Amino acid sequence: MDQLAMDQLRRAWRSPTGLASVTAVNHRIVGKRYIFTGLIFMALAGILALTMVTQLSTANRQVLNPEAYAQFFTMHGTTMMFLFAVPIMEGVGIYIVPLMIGARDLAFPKLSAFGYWVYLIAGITLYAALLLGEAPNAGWYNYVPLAGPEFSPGLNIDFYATAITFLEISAITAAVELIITIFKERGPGMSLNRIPIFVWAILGISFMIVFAFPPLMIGSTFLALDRLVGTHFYNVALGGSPLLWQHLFWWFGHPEVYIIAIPAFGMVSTIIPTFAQRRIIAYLPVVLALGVISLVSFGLWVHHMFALSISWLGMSYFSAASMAIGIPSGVQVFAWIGTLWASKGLVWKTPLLWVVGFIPLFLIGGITGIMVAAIPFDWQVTDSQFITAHFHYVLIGGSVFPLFGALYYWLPKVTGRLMSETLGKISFWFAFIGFNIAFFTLHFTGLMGMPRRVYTYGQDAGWGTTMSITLAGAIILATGFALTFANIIWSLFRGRPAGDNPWNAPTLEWSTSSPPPPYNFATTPVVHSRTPLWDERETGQHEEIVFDVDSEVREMMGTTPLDATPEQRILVPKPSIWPLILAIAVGIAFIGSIFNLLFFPIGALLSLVALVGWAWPGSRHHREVKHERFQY
Amino acid sequence: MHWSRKRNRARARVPIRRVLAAILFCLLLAGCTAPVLTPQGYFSDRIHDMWQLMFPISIVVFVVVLLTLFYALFRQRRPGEGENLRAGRTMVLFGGAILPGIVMIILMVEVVAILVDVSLIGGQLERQGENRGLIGQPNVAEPEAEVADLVVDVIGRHWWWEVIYPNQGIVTANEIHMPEDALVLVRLTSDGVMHSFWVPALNGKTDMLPGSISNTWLHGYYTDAYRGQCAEYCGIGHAKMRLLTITQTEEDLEVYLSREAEPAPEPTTEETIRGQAVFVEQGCAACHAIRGLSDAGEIGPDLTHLLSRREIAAGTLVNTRGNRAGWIVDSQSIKPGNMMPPFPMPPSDLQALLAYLDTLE
Repeated sequence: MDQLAMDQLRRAWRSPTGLASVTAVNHRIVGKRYIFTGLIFMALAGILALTMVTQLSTANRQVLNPEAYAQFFTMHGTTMMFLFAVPIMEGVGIYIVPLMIGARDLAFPKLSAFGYWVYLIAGITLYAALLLGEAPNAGWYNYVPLAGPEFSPGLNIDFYATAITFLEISAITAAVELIITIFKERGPGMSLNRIPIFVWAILGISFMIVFAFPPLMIGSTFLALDRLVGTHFYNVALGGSPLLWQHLFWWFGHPEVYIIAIPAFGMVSTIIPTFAQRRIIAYLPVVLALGVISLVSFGLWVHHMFALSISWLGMSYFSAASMAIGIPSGVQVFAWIGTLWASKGLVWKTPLLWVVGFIPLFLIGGITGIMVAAIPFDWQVTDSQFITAHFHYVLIGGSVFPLFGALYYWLPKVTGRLMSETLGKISFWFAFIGFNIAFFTLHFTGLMGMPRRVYTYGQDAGWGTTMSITLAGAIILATGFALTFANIIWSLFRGRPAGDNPWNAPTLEWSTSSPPPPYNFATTPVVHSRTPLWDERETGQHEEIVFDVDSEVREMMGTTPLDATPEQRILVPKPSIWPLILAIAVGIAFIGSIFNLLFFPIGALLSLVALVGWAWPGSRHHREVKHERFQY
Repeated sequence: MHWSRKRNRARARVPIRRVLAAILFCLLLAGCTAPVLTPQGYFSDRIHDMWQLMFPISIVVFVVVLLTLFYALFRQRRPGEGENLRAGRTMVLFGGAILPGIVMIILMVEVVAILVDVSLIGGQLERQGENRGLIGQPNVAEPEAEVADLVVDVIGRHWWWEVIYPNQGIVTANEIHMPEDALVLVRLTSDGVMHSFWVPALNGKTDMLPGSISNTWLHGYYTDAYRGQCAEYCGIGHAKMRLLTITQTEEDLEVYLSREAEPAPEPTTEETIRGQAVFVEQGCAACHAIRGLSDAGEIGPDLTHLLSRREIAAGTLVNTRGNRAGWIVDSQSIKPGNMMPPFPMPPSDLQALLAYLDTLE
C-alpha cells in the first residue's frame, strides 16, 4: 500500500481527541473505556469488601451499622456482577475480538458507544445512591417481598430496579454487536474451525446474554412497576408470587456466572498455548465444552433454590445438570494441562503465572461446586459462608485471575508498553496466597454455621478466629491486586516498548503494531490456519488480499458466517454524538422515573429525537464486491 | 558468607512453620466445632453422609489433578523429544469426561438415596393415609417413630421466631423444646419477608415464605441445646434473628409443655401489681400478649412465660433481669432496627415492671 493510501486510511479512521472524544465510536476506544471503568468499579467493590470483612473480623465489632452493612454487601455484589465482571469481559471482547479476527471495527460502532454510556450512567447512578446513603440494600439478588414496596419503602430498591434494567441494555447491545461482528467480519479464510478459542468464548457468552438478560429485565421491570406504579406482580396478598422473582432472577443469575467464567476460560485457552509455544491440544473438544456449558447453564437455575420445598424429583434434575457441568469443565482443565505437558519449554512470564495459578483455584471452586450441587449438602451450606467461599473461588479464582493474566497479556497491545515482570510476579503471589488464606478459611466458617449477610455475631458464635484469618488474607489479596493496578500505571510511563508481538503469540492481533493504528490492519489479513502468525513464519507464506475497500471512508470487508469468504463491504459509521445523547435520554426515562413517573414519557420522547438524529442518512454507498479480485 | 546466609534462612523458617501450624490447628479446631460436620440428629447425620462420600473423593481428585499439573509444568524436557498427541487427547477424554462422569453418577446415586430417605421419613409423612410417593413404603428403620412425635409451627417475624405448639395451645418465641431422639415436624411460614430456618446441628435449611407453608423435620440424638439462625437475608435485624432448639427427655418436655400451657399468674405483691399497671400504661400490651392479661399484642413475642426462656430478643441477650431492663429502655442500641421503640421511664416504674416480668415464669 502506498503512502497516500495509508494517510487516507489514517484520516478516515482517526478518532476525535479532546472534548470531542465523547463522539468516538471506534471499538478500541470503547473497549478501553469499558476496561478502565470496569477496573475502577472493581477497586470500589474491593474497598467495600475490605470494610465488610473488617467489620466481621471479630465478634461485635462496630465498623459498620447494619444498614450501612446491607448497602455495602448489596453494592459489592451488584458492582462485581453487573458493573465489573460482565462489562469488563465484554470490554476485552470489544477491544480484542475485531483485532483477533482481522476486522477494522465492530459491526455497529455507534451501538457499542451507546452501550458504554448507558453502563457509565447506570454505574454512576448506583454509586451516587451509595454516597447519599440510599443504595440498594436487599442483596444483589434482591429477593421480594423484602425488596417490595411494603418492606423497603425507601428509594434504595428503586435505584436497583431501574438502574439494573437500564444497565442491562448495555450488556445486550454489546452482545448483539459481538455476535454480528464474529459472524460477519472475520478475515477471509477464518472459517469456523479456525476461530480463536477466545472468540468462541465471546460468541458463546454473547448468545447467553441475549437469552439470559431479558428475563432479568422483565423481572426488574415488574419490580419497578410494583414499586413505582403499584402493580402486584410479587404481592402475595393479592395473588402475586415472590417465587416468580426468584425464577426470573436465577434464570438470568446462573448463566450470569458462566457469562463471566467462559471468557475467562477463553483467556486461559489463549494464554497457555502462547507461553507453551504450541497449539492447544483438543481444540474441538474445548470449543464444544464452551458450547455445552453455554447451553447447560440455562438448565441449572433451581440449584439456587434447593432450600425451598420443591418436589425432590424436580430438584434432582437440576442437581444432576449442575454436576454435569463438571464434564465440560474437566475437558478444558485437562486440555490446558495437556497443552502445558506437550510444551517443549514453557515461557514463565507473568500472564502464564496468573493462568497456572487459576487452575488449582478453579479446581477447588469446581469441587465445592459439585458439593453444593448435591441437594442434601446444599441444604446445609446454602446461604452460609461456605457458599461465599465457593463462589469467590469460582469468580475471583476462576475468572479474575485469568482476567489479570489477560491484562498482563493484552495491555501491552493496548498501550504499546510492557508491564513490569517483577511487579507482576510479586502481585500474583500476594493475590494467590492472600486469596487462599482468606477464602479457604471461609469454607470452615460456613461449616461452623455462619450465615451470609450477617453484619455481626456474638462472642458465643466462635467465628472470630477464622474471620480474622480471612481479614488477614483479604488484606494480602487486596495488596496483590493493587500492585497490578500500580503496575498498569507504571507501564504507561516507564514500560518498555512492547513491539508488535512481545510473546511470539499466534493470533492476528499480534500482527499489527502496538498500540494498533486507527484502522487496525492496513490490509485485511488472510487466514490459513488456527495459528496464523506461527504458520506464516514457519512456511514463509505471506499472502495479503488485493484490497478493494475504500481507504477514504470507514469501510471494511464482510465475509460469510461459515467459511468467511468475502461477500460484501461494510460501511462503518463515523464518530457521532448521538450515542451519548440517546444514552442520556434513556437514562432520564429510567432513572428519572424513580422520582417522578412523568420522566418516563419525557425520556422516551427525547430518545425518539435522539434516534432520529442517530439514523439521519449520511453519504452511504454500497457496492458489490467483485469476488475474483480476492486472491487467497 | 554462604554458610551464615543459609543458617539465617533456616532460622527464619521456624516462625513461618509455627504460623502455618497455628493456622492448621485453627482450621482443625474449626472442623471439630463445625456443627455441619458434627451432626447431632438423624437428618443432619444423613446429610453428613453426603459429605463423607464427597470429601475423600474431592481430596483424591484435587491431588491427582494437581500432581498432573505439576508434572506437566516441571517435567524434564528432553531436547528433540517427540510428542504424543494421542496420549494427550486420551487424557482429556478420560480425565476430563469419563472420570468426572463416573464420579457424578456415584454422587447422584447418593443424592437420590438421601432424598428418598429424608422425604419418606419427612416429606411424605405428614400426608398419612395418602399415597406414599414413588418409592412405596416408608423407611421406618431409623428413627423408629413413624409419625411425628411433636408438631411445632414456626412463623418468621421481624426479626424473631414465633413458636406455636398447635396441639398444646402454646405460643412462645425463639425457643423450640422437643423430645430427644424423636421426630419433630416443623411447619414453617412467614408473616412478611422470606426467612430461612436453619439449625445446622440438626438439619439443613428450609426457606420460609409468606403465604405458604413449608415443612421440615428436626431430630436430635441427645439432650442438648442447639443454635439456629435465620439464613436468608430478611432485613436489618437479620444478623440477630437466632433461635435455640432444646432437646429434652420426655418427662422434662412434659413438665415444660404443661407449664407453658398455663396462663400467666395474677400479680400478688404491691410492686408486681404496679408493674402490671406499668405494662398496660406504657402500651407494652399493644405488641406483647400475656395470656390472662391481654391477648391483643401480635407484633412482639408472647411474654406469658418470659422467664422460662434462656434468651431474649431472638438470641441476642441472655435472659437476665439486667438485660431485660436494658432492652426495655433502649432496645435499638442492642438490636438496631427492631420493632420495639425505646421506653425511657422513671426508675421506680422500671423496677416495678421488671418485678412484674419476674412473675412470668
